Amino acid sequence: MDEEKLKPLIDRYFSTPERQMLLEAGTVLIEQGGNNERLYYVRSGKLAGFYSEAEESEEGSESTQVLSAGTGEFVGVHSFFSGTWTASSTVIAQVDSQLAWIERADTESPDDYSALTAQFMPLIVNELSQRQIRAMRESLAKEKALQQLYTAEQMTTLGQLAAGIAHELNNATGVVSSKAVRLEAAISSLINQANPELATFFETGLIQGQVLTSREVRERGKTFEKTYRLPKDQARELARAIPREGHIETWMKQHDVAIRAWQLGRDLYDLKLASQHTVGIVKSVKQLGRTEISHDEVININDTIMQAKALLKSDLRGVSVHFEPGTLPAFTGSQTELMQMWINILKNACDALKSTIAPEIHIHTRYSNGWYYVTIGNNGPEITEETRRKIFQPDFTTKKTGLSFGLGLGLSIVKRIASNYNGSVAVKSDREKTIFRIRLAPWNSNE
Amino acid sequence: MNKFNVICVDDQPEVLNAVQQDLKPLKQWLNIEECESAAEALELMEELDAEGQMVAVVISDHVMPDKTGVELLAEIAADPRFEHTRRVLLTGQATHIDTINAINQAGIHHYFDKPWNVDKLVGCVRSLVTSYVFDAGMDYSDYREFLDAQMMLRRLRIY
Repeated sequence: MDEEKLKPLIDRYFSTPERQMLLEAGTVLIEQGGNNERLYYVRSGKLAGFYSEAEESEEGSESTQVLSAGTGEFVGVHSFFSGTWTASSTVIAQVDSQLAWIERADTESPDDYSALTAQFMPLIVNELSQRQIRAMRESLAKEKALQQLYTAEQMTTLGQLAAGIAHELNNATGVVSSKAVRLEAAISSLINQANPELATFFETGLIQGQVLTSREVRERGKTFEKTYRLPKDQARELARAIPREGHIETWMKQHDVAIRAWQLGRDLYDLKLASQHTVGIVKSVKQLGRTEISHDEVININDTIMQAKALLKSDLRGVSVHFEPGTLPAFTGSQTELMQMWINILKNACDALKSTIAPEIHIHTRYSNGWYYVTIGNNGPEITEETRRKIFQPDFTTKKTGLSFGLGLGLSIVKRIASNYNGSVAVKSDREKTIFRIRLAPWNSNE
Repeated sequence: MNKFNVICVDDQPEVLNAVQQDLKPLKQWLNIEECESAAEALELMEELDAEGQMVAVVISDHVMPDKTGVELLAEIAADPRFEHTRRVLLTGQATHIDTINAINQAGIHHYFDKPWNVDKLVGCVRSLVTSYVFDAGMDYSDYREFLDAQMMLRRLRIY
C-alpha cells in the first residue's frame, strides 16, 4: 500500500503510547473463532495467521497458514471491518513484534465509524485482494504438488509391480535354463552312446539352431525335391537342417534319423535362446523397479554423458557424435540413474539412425537458474505425432524385430528418473532432426 | 490329392518354428508354409495363387516390423482371390485397439493368445480348413477323413 497515504492514518490512530505492546515470538495474539475487537498495526516484527478445519485444536489437526503480516501491515482487518468481531484465523507472532491498535469502542459513535471505514477503505481492499491472491497461488501450488505426487505414485507403483514380476520370472526362468542345460547334457550323452554318427547332426542343431530364413528354406526345399527326388515335406526338413556349408551327401545317407537328431538339437537351442531372452527382459524390468540407488553422490553430469558414450562405443560406430559440454556446477544424485537416462536415449538414437546417411548425434549441456539442461538430438527420421504422444508410456515400443526387440521400457525409465529429480523430458521431432530435452534439479534440492 | 496351404507368419524364427511343429499332425493333408514377414507372406500367396493352389488359412503374429499382422490380414480380407481364406491372429502383444481393428478391419476368424494350446490350435486349423472347403465349394470327398466331422455335418445339413 501507498506508504505516504498511510502515514497520516498511522500517526492519527496508532500512535497512542498506552495502546502499544510487545508480543514475544510464539505468543498467540488472537484465536480463530475467538472475539477480536482490535485492529492491530505491526510497527515491527512478523506475525502469521493460521486457519484450521477442526473446531477445537485437536491433536494432529492440521492448520494452514492464511495470513502473514510484517512491519507496516495490519492484523485483524477481517474481523474489525466485517463487523463480526470474530477472528477468522489464529494469529501468532513469528518473532518479537511491536504492535499498536485501535478498538471497537473507538468506533461506537456511528460518525466516527464511517469516518474510520472511509479512511481505511484502501487498506481493506488491499487486504482482501492480498488474501485473494494468496488463496489463488496456494490452490495453484497445491494442484501442481498433487500432480507431481500422482506421477511419482504412478511410477513407484509401476516400479514395485515390475520388481515383483521380475522376481517371480527370475525363479521360473532359472528352472527353465538349468533344466535345459541338464537335458542337453543327458540327451547328448544318450545319443553318443546309442549312435555316435548322429551326434554331429544333433550338435549342428544345438550349436546354431536354424540358420536359414523361411524363404531360403522354401527355395532350397524345391531344389532338394528335384535333385534328390524326395517328398516335399522331407525335402523341406532337410533344407531347414543342413547348414549352408554342410556336406549334403552325409545327411542324405540317413536323412530320416539325421533330421530327427538335428531337430532335437535345434529345439534345445531355441529353448536356451528363449530363456536367455527372458533373463535379458527380466534384467531391464528390474531396472525399472530399482530401489537400492543412492542419491547423494556428487557428480559431474558431463562426465556421466562421456561414460554413457564410452559404454555405447560399439553402437555409436559410424555415427558422428558432437558433444558440447556446458559449464555445470556439481550435481547431487545417482550416477547410475543419470547414465541409465543417457544410455536409453542414445541407444534409441542409434536405432533410429540405422538407415540414415551420415548419421549425427548432438549433445549439449547447460545450467541455468538451478536447472541442469541436457539436449540430445539426432538427424534420424521424424517421430510422428502419434508416436510422440505414446513414446513415454512403459509398454510402447517400435522395436519388434526378432530377438533384438525392445520392451518399451527405455523412455519410461528416462521419464521416471527425470521426475525423481523434479525434472522433465520432452521430445521434439521434425524431418530434419529429433531432439530430446531433459531438465533436472539436484536430488532433494526442492525439499 | 492336392494339399491345402496353411501359411504361418511370425518375425521370430523360433516361434514360427514352434507353430509349424505343432501343426505337424495335419501335414498329411495340409502343406504348412512359414514366412518371417507380412511381405513374404503376400509374395508367397501371390505365387501359390499363380500355381492354382489353395490358401486355406493364414495364421499371423500381430507385432512385426514394417507391416503388422492386422494389416496383413486386412489386406488378405480385401483381396477377392482370397475371399474364403481363413484369417487367424496369434499374438501375445495386441492391445485393446489392435484387437478391435483385427475384428473390424481384418475380420479375423479366430484369435489365439500366446502361449497357445497345441491341441486347440490344431483343432482350430482343422475346423477352419473344413469351413474353407465348403465355402469355396470344393469337393470334400478326398478329405473326408481329415476334416472336422462336426463342422462337416453342420455344413452338409445346410446345403
